[in-house]
Parts: sequence; C-alpha cells; structure tokens
Amino acid sequence: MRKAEDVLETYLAQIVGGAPVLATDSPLQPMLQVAMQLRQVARIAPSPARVERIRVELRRVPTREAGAQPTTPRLGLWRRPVAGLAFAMMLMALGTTSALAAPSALPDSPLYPVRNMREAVQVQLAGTAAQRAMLYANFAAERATQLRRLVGHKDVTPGVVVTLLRDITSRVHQANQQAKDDGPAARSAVSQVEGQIGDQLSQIQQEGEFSGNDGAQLTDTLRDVQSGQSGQSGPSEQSGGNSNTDTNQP
Amino acid sequence: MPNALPDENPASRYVEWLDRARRQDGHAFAQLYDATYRRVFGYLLARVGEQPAAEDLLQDVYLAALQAIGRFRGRTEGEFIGWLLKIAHAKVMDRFRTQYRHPELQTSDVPSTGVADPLDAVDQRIRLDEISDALSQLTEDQRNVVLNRLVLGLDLEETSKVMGKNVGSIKALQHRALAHLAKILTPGVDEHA
Repeated sequence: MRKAEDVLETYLAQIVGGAPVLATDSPLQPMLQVAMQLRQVARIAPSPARVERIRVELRRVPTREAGAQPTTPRLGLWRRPVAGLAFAMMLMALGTTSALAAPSALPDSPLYPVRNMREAVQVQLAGTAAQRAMLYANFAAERATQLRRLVGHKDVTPGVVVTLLRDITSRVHQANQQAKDDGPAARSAVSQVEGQIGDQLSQIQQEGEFSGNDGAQLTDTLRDVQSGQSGQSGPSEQSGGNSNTDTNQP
Repeated sequence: MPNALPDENPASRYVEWLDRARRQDGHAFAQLYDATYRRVFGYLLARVGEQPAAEDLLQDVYLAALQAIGRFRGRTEGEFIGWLLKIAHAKVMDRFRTQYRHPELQTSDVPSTGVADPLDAVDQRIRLDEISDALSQLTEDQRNVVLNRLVLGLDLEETSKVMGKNVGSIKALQHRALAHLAKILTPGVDEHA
C-alpha cells in the first residue's frame, strides 16, 4: 500500500502541473484544498504599471561592481605616474559630472538645463516606447512632487511655478504619446502615474496658494493631466505646453 | 522546473545575462528581472499577504539585487532565483520587524493604491492574509517546502536540491506542512488524521 506521503506527492505534481485534481473522497482533501489555494497565489501577478515602474527604477539606479575583478594587467613602475595623473584628471571630471548631474535642480538653478538634458539622454537610451513613456511620466511626477514640497514650504517664485507646470504638461503629453504607441499596459502604467500627479496638483490647488497667471497655469496643467488619464492626451493651448516651449525635449 | 524554465530560458541565456549584468549591463539585468519577477512576487505575496506590500518589496528586492549583482557568483537560473529569494526573505523579515516595532505603520492604514482585488481573477476565492498568517506558523523548513513546491512551482527533485534534503525528507516535510496548514485554515480538520 502506498504511503500517504507518496499519494499526496502524486496529487501535488498534478496541481503544480495545472491538471485538475479529483480527490473529493480522499482523506487528503483538506490538504489538497490548501495546496490549490497556495497554487493560486502563484497565479496572481503584480500590476503591469508596477512592473513597468520597477523596470524604469532599475534603469535609473547606478550599479556597484563590488565583486568585479580587475581586468587590466598591473602597471609597470614607469607607467604609474602617468596613470596617477590620468586618475586625478578622471576624479576631477567625475566631480564635475556629479555636480552637474543635479537630478533635482529647480528651474531657477543654472543646473536645470542639465537636468533636462540628462532626462533627454535617458529617454534616448530607453529601448521601448513603454520605457520612454514611463520615463516621461516619472519626470513629470518628480516635478509635481517638487512643486508640492515648495508650496508646503512657501518657497515658490512665479518663474519656477510656471516652468515646472509647463514641463509637467509637456512630459505628460510625451508620456501619453509614447504609451499610445506601445499598448494597454503602458497606457495603464502612465495613467497610474498621472493619477498621482493629478492628486499632487489638486492638493496644491486646494491650498489656494496660487493666483493670477500661476493659478490659471495650474488649472490648465491639472486639466491636461486629467485628460491624459482619460485618454485624451495633449497639452492645452493656454498652458504653453507645446514642445517648442520646452527646449529640452529630445 | 514547471513554469520557468530551462526550455523557455535555456541555461546558456542565464549564464550570458548574469555575466553581462555583473558588468553593469542594464539590459541584461532587465532580462533577468522579466524572467523572474513573477516567481519572486508569488513568494512575497504568500509571505506578506497584501498585493501593494508585495509590490513594494518586489521593487526593494530587485534594487538590492542590482546593487549586489557584482558579488553574485552563481551561473544558473536556480542559483539566481535562490539568491533573489534570500534577499526577498531578508526584506520580508525587515518588514515584519518594522511592523512589530511600529504597529502604527501596518499597511492596512496605508491608503489603497486602487489596484483591484487580485483574487477576483482566480477561480476560487482565497484569503491571502489568512494564508500568509498560516504560513508564518510553520517551521522554516515546512514553509520553504510549500513555497518552493506550490508558489515557485519547483518539482520534487528541484526542491530537494534547493533545500539540501533528500526526496524522502521533502515528501515527509510537505505532508506535515500541508496537514498543519489544513488544520489552521480549515476548521474541524485534525492535523494527525
């Protein structure tokens, strides 16, 4: 007679293989029921939007080569001063590069154009329309978060507000264009980020800090973001969101 | 391995992806991510019982893996998955520790992400939180055996290899684990019946 453990294994192999299991009169039935429930957990997938966002995050994180082995031969004595000089120059260049990277520079910073160029390069390097869409959406979301923080600290100047809102609009527009070229998963991912941007902008609007041109621009941007979510993307004329006004679009 | 597997992702492709990922090739790491995230997510979901939390942890796991890939010496799919699951286990334990110390940060207090109930998509409704609670009451070996078999979809031999135990031990372990789970999850069931 087969041991219960062997019988159970037979059923488990069927469950894992996706075959129907009929063992309603088996004393193992409660265990098989649990096994099938656990197998169903494996069928649940993360949301496509989140999968894409993680993919974009992974592309943005610089990696360390902690375990990498040196591939170049040891240098002779006479080469060391030359290598040292080259290393010093490289450090200077790296220092300059890191300073210029300024991924969070604001429009009133001289580094803001560098931030825009850096983003343009990231977009150029993206392999698919979905990745480009998520990059644009995340760039817009970063600006919305910055604007919300600035408003919270009551540290905004009109020029900064106008530029941030304009760039949010243009990036949301680009994100929707790219997502349209890709498919439903990309559109869903972009829409989710747009929802977050819309929430940020709505909160700013409710706080009532902006009036005049800034207030009007905020309303326009919010409308553009929300229309992007409903699939009617495109910057409004009033918002000045046309890509010609955004000199840093790739 | 039933789901993932060598036929779809031949071993040589893993070797190549891993070699390139170690040299900071982002595209290769993305390939590894695409090939493995479903299984890592299944593990995380079974452990924490909430989709938004599992998605957060999924991101943490792959960001940590990306940072550490240069130190990873494995060359096969199984070794890579095993390594990811070790990272995932550490992230889950960090999360449990944080929840223990700061119960006010329970995810039930966190606003919903608006993601529809994933269980609507499956034939039989199950309670993820009950399953993850029940899993936490098993011994580590019992928990690992059911996760390897039923969530990751490994077969008996693969589970035996991953866990470093013989096939007979795995059979006994999974029987005890499922009996224990059935007792917890099904009222009226006697674990020793």
